[in-house]
Amino acid sequence: MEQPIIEVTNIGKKFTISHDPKGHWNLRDVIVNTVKRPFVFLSHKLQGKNLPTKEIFWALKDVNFTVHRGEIIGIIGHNGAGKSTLLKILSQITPPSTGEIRIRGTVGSLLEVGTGFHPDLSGRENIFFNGAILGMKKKEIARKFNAIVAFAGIEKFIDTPVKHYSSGMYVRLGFSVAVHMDPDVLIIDEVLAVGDESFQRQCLKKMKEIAENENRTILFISHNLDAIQDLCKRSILLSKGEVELVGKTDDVIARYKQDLASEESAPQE
Amino acid sequence: MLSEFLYNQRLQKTLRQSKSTTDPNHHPRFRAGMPKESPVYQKNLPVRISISCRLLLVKIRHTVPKILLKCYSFDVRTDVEIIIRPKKLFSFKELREIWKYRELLYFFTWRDLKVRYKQTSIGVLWAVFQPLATMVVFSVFFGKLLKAPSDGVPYPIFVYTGLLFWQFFADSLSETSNVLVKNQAIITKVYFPRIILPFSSVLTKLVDFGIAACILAGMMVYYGYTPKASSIIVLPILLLVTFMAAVGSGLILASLNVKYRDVRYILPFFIQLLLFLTPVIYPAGIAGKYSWLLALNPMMGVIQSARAVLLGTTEINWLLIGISFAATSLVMILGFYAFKKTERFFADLI
Repeated sequence: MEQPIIEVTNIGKKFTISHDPKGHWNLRDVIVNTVKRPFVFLSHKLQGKNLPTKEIFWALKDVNFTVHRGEIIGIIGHNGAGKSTLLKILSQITPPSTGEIRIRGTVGSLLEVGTGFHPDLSGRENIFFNGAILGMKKKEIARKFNAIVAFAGIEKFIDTPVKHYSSGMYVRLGFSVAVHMDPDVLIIDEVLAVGDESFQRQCLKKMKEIAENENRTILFISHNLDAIQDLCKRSILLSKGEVELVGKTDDVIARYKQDLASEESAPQE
Repeated sequence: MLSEFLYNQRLQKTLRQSKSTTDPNHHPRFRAGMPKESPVYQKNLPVRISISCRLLLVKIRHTVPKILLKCYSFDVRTDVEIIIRPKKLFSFKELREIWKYRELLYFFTWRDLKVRYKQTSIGVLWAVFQPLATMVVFSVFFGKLLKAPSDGVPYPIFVYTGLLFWQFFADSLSETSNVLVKNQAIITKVYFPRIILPFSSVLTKLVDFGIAACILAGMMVYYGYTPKASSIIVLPILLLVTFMAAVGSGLILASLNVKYRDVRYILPFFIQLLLFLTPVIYPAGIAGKYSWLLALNPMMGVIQSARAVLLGTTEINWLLIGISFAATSLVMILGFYAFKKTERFFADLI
């Protein structure tokens, strides 16, 4: 059997959050306090009163799953469940605190549409720059240039500075560049929410095409459950930083809806 | 012999310690048999050094054959494997990766140059205007009115030679230390070797240097100076020293700036101060027997040698160039180390 393209073992990510009862201590506060009430302040300091306390918060904990080549995996979960953190770790933007990930191939990530777009540069220039940031070669971009422009549907405005674009055009251009790179694994965060419906449908179609025809793998985060159901055979449900369920999309979505319902009926803490 | 015995015992002990720990979020150094948190590791410098050396040796032994293998494998597609782990300081894989992303270096530089003079009416002339205006002001006040000594060379060309290199250094330094914060949006959203950013900002400044150097060439024709033949060798070295001084210290400041934004406020003031500590507007000889103190500043070596080679103010002091080179190499290594050490956490801290 073929080896999985992504193997995630025991991934965890912790953040330190500080609780500061008095807000931020700056130099001025320290000076003012020492002058005003030197002994009270010092004894407080020594006893550790009013000092920020630190707490360790695990954004992700013991996440394990494997993905095979050609799969489209949906990742769903509440806000703050750790979806974006997981994608950030997978795309090497931030390191995990524990565990190991093995990816047998190249990764392209689209955590935000139009990363690095400069408002003063024209659409043409931004396509090249954005493509390069996403890891494409100059030749490659030049070869795909027409396809990118056509997909975004902005032929007329290609030499206009991006700052004059409508937000829809901006998103279309950004997505179009990203979808034309050739990574083995494509990671997409909730980015389609901005475009209009026809463009969303166009994107979903394109993603399906990529996965089926070119045997690429896609990890896809969305709150749009219909899109996930339509696109992904398998999905992952994250909840409070842990994997709650990995399995068929229908089951996962059912579980997610069940969670939502039980949460709504339960009294707020 | 005794010390060796003791060392072995310690190693055994820590090995046992590390095995007994079942903490899931342990440090990768456990695998090498020495937890960083262990008191023996913390307290004992020789043990620490020897462990580090061992780690390095193991790393070399593991990576060199792999690199050799990879150099000769032609199928690029299948040998790509990304392993994401809690921490790694440096691996040869990263060098390959930087090479893979070399076009991005070009694109960042290209973008900065393109964007800089967008929506300006005189465009690239600004790159000429700044050093020229500084030179005129300095010549009037320090040269004409204050009659600053200039090693027997007309003051304008004397000060301009200094300013040329100084400006390159100062601009590169301030730009590199700010580059990570400036590109925050990109850093938190896309992965690429971050080291490309500081390098591209220096390249941008190198273009400015080139433009400003054309004026110097014009001035040399006007005042009738011909550079010495050795300048073909010396000038590139001087440029390299300036580059390393700026990038090295810039890398340190850049990694600090990610967490402590104080850098942004201190640096302009610091650079201004440094201008007066560097023989830009006065000759190094002014300090008399204390001029060796000035030599601690690598830029002094650069500027004095540039004047020696272009204007013939003094003999070329090879020792001075050598010292400057060594000092800036050290700064560069330190900068790399500081940068690599914090690089992986930029997105979390920034």
